[in-house]
Amino acid sequence: MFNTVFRFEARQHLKKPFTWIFLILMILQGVYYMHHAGEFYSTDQTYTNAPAILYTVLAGMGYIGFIVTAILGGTALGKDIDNRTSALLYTTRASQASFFSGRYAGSFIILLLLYAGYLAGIIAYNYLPIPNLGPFSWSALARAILLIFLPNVFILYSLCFAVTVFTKNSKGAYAAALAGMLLMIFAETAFDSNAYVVLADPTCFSVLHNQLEHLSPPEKNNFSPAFSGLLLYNRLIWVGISLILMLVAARKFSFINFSSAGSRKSKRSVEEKDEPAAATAFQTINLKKIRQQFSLGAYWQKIFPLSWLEFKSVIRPWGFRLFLSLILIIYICYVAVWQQQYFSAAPTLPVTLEVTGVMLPLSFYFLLFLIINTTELLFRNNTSGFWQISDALPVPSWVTVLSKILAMLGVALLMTICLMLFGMLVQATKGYYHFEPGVYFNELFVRWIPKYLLYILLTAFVAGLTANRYATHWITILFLFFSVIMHETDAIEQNRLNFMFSPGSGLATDMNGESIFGLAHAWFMWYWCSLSIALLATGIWLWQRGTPVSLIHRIRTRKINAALLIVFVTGIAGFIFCGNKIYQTVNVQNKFQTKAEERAEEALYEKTYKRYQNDPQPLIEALSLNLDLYPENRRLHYTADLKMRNTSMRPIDTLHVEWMDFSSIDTISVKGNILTLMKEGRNLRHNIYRMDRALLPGDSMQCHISGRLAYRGFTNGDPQKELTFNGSFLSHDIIPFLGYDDRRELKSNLYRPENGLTKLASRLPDTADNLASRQLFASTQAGRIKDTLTISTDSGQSIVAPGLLVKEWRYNNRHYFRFVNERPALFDFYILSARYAVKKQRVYISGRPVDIEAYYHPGHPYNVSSFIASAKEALAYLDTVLGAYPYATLRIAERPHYDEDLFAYGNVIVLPENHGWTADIRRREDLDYLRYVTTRLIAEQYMRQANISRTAGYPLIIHSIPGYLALQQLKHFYGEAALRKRLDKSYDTYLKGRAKEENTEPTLLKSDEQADYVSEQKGSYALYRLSQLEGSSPVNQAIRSFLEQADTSGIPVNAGWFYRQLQTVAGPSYHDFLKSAFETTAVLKPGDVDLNAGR
Amino acid sequence: MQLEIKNLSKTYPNGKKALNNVSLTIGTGMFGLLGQNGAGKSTLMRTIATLQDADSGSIFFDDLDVLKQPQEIRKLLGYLPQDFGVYQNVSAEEMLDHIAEMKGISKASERKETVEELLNRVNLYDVRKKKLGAYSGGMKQRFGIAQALLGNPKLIIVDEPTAGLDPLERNRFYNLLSEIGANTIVILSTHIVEDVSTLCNDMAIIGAGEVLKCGKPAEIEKDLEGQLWEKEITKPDLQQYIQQGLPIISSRFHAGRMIITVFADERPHETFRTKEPSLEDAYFRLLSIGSLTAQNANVHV
Repeated sequence: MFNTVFRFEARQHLKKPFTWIFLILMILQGVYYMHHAGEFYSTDQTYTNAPAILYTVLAGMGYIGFIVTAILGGTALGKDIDNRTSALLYTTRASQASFFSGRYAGSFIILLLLYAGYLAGIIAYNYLPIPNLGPFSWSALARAILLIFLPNVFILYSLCFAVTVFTKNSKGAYAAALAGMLLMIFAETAFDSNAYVVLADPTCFSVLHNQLEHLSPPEKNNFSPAFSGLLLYNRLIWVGISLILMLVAARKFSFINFSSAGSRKSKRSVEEKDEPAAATAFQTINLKKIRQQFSLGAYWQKIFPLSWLEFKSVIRPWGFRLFLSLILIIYICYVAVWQQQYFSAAPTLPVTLEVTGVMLPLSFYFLLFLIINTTELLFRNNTSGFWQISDALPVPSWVTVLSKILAMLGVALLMTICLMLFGMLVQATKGYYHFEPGVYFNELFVRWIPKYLLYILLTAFVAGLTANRYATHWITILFLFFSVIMHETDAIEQNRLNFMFSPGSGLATDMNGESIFGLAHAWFMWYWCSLSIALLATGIWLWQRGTPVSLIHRIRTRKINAALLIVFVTGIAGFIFCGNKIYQTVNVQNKFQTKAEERAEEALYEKTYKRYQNDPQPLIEALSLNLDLYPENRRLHYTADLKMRNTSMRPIDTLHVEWMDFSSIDTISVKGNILTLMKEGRNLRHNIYRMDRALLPGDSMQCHISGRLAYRGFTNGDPQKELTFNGSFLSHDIIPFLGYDDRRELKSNLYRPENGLTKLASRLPDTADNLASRQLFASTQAGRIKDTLTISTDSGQSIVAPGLLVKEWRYNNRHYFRFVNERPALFDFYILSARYAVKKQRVYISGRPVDIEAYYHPGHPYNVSSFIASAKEALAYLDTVLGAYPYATLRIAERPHYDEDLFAYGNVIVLPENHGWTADIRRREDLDYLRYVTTRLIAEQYMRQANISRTAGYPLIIHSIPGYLALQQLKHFYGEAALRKRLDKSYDTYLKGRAKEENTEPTLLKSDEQADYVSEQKGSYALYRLSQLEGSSPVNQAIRSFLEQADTSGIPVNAGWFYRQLQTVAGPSYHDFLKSAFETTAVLKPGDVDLNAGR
Repeated sequence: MQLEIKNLSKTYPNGKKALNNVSLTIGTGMFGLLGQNGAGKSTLMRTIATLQDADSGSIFFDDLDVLKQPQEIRKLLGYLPQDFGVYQNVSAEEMLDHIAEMKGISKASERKETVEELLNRVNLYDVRKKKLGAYSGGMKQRFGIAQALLGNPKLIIVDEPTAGLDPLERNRFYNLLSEIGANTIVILSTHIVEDVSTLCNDMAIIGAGEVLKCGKPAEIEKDLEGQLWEKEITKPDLQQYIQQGLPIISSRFHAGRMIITVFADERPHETFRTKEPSLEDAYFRLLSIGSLTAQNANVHV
């Protein structure tokens, strides 16, 4: 009997066109996932089909995989309930066991067939003409299938199948598949904080992804995960759970049990009292005359009560509550257990933006949920059979459709309100009571409700077009998948080309709010809403009423409805109008470029101007800058007087002048000289001027430049952080660059060949490079300069800039500041302007006063005192190691959280909002981040005193040494054992950086600006390890003597100097360690080196 | 008030001719539409109820063009489909209120009153708060009747309304319909001859998409007067009578014995006795001269 059931089940699926359509989709998905994963993970050295990528793609299963698993797992037994065939089939000679197993196996074999399509797609990808393909590893594939793929198919299918048995409802399988996906995404986004969460992932995708993130390119190319540890436990747990569930399901399944689910009688069924048999008729009551209203106004009045009824009917079923609960539980998990690594750099207070930030990874599921429910609601009359009554009622289609749309909007609002309340609940339970309903409103309601509405409208359009429930589900869901994947993979970079997307998701900051993205979001939402309304009008026009007829028939027979036509035309007009506005603002005014276009421009710059790299240009010796900032209008203008000198051996008669994007030069003049524009390069922002009198070697000149910068409108995603409403962070690049700027070159070897360039051997010049070895690391256009910065800003804002604040005054409703540097400074400063609160404290370090000033966002007062205290500790410690702090004032400033970059220049250190300012330091050990980061950045200020050349390895001095000193500071406070966690995290960051390396990993001695994972992570640890082996004193001594020599050195020194100092203090017994750590790319894992080695 | 159907035709995409040049004039009162399953009754009902297009022909309700002004006819319509569903999670009271609102009863108090009256009429008042998903087949059908009567409809279409009702409920329903039918047009579609003969003052018999006969039930019965003969036979003899070419229009059992009915101008044999014609005979007679032959004549047990 098993054979009969099994064969029938399998044969029925094979006959369905849907099976074959899904097979094709699975094949395409296999190809696409390989392509996507290949592009995402592979670098110059990693093959796009590297085994590590293959493993993760096989573990991923794919969205379509989840869907088919839910369909097959749910219908295998559930279809008898849905089709009411249980009474027929459960009364045959088939036994329960054979029926159960036959159905399980019949659908499973079809599922395997479909997944074979996925495999076929993956294999086929290896034979396509794709660049950077490596040899295809059949053995890796076989092992991945055995360990990952087949268990996954079994696990997901069994979960879906078992849940259907437990719930006696095929929809249970969808809930199971969705839960599987949610667990996977949860593990994916949380494994950084706790590696053990990967055990919760039924697909073990996150287990492999976690490993992949730490592999070097050769390791990825030869990946074969050990079947132990988390991978083994994950497999054991989930296969075990699946087996247990299947055993329980097999025991629970019985014909009696299941047939009762299909019957009309249930526990809830209403029993009527017996009416007396003599009752002659339904009671005779004369129906009164009633008034009926069919005016347009009456229809509009109906909409709200109808929506309310529809709304109630959506939220009543258990499925809705189950899903909502599931989402909220995941949401709470995210918010409650998240750690610094995912959102921030330190254990962070549950500030509202961090809580609302969780919406981003969850939004996909919300949209999916809304699509499913909208479709079900739109077709509910059909599925319930009520359509024969409802379609004959005297209500126009637009009234019913609109009421359902409003009902779903109500559902979206309900979900969002739940999110807000749960967010606040989590905040309160974490002891954070600064509730910000305004931020919740902006981030959850203003940003997401229109997007939910867009998909509700789109679903209504598809429903009107197809008049088919299943087609509506699939078309809309697949469209959502497609759209999200296109966005995630940057295949569609422009928001205006991808339905629903708008700029600014995840870019709100406490300091700068929504910034330009509030306006951008409004325009984009109008843009997409206009389109959706036009589509909805089309959907309503074609709305199926009565017996189904084909789309073509409907198009042919429907008369044009004037009101709908007006709505359609208005929608299209709005779409075109908003589209044009967006295009003009983003693409024309704000010069949007795709990543490929950016790379092409970098390549073109290099090809056009590289030949001038060695042409000598005068170096800046002194700067006097007058800068007026208008943050409210996002514009500035400046005048700069530069004293420049020809330090080369050749006369200079040509000036190469470049300017910052969106800025313009109003005037440029050289005192006593006439500049003639020889070649204008507007597109690449590079002009070439001829001086009528050449600047002879050793001579100097005065150059006067004035210019402006103005941002307008909004962008596709660039926050234009240089000049913004509150928290501008303007670099010295506002002053035109003289010469060829090698920072603008295309650095990625992955893309250089396709842009007509040869691969780079190194991203920084070699120490032997004649030109570079004479230039300071900070800038190729200046040595150490004297500067005076006179800056004004809006009256409510303050300026933070390097140097001594010699004057501060207000004039004409503006706030003026003048800074003069205490000692010649590097030419790489930044200027901040924001509405700051300030806390100042004078501390004495070895008897010398240092004024510590903290400039912070008034909403972030939490840790300011701790920052100052940590800075004082750092100053005290560094005073003992490196000598006196070089400045009289130390400024610590906060800036909006648009990236994670930390800055130290002159006497200023700058940290984004989430780095310390909102850190949760209530536990003593959590204070470590403040101590670490202040020590590191202040140490960087020290090291910047060294005259270091802009050659390979300079980040070793600028980043590794400060990182090492910060570790020493932590060791001092918490002891060596407590440091292990930070070292492990640092090692993890190193591995991840190495995994993403697009060129070749440089050695520590050759580290460069792009490979900060080498200088900041590996370098700091290498020095720390040496201090463990040799003791910290010799290492500290080497650093100090290097700094003293480099500070006074007439010519710039390089990392090799420091390395030789280390070799000297380390003694011969540690030379092997030094060689391995500094001269090779060998991995330096914390705890790897024997503490007694070499002794 | 008059419903006028003229030359209505409908062919489905699969080639099945559901309606073929149907013309009917229906006045106030109960109108019965009799036909076999698949005869085209439901197609005709759905077309009148604005749920289906016709390929050609017209339907006018007084001056209203049903096919071109569906929205207008819906304002006057009460429709009880043959097989309909309900929202499982909504109570009868809520659902009726919802439908009442959709039928244009905007005033909440009026709506409440009407819904309560109708719930009383169909004996669902006590269970009005229960979810429709928990209703039995009969209760659901009564709910369907109540909704069809909402909004004082001028044209009521009931398609196989008594399916699922027990005999007592069926009687109640007939009483209700006949009461309402006095002032409105009620079209009752059924394949149960008795329903039509009991209730309707006018009727049509439809077969293979065509109107086979139209008129008052008594007149249709009268047409067969003196032409029906019946005889009690044993079942094995049936084949013999068929082979003889007797125009048997039906055969039925009575007390375990088979009785055949023959349509002929003269008594086929002295063993046949005269039969008083019934509407059922007229119906079977029409079907037998339609597509049916004596071999598969209706066997009514």
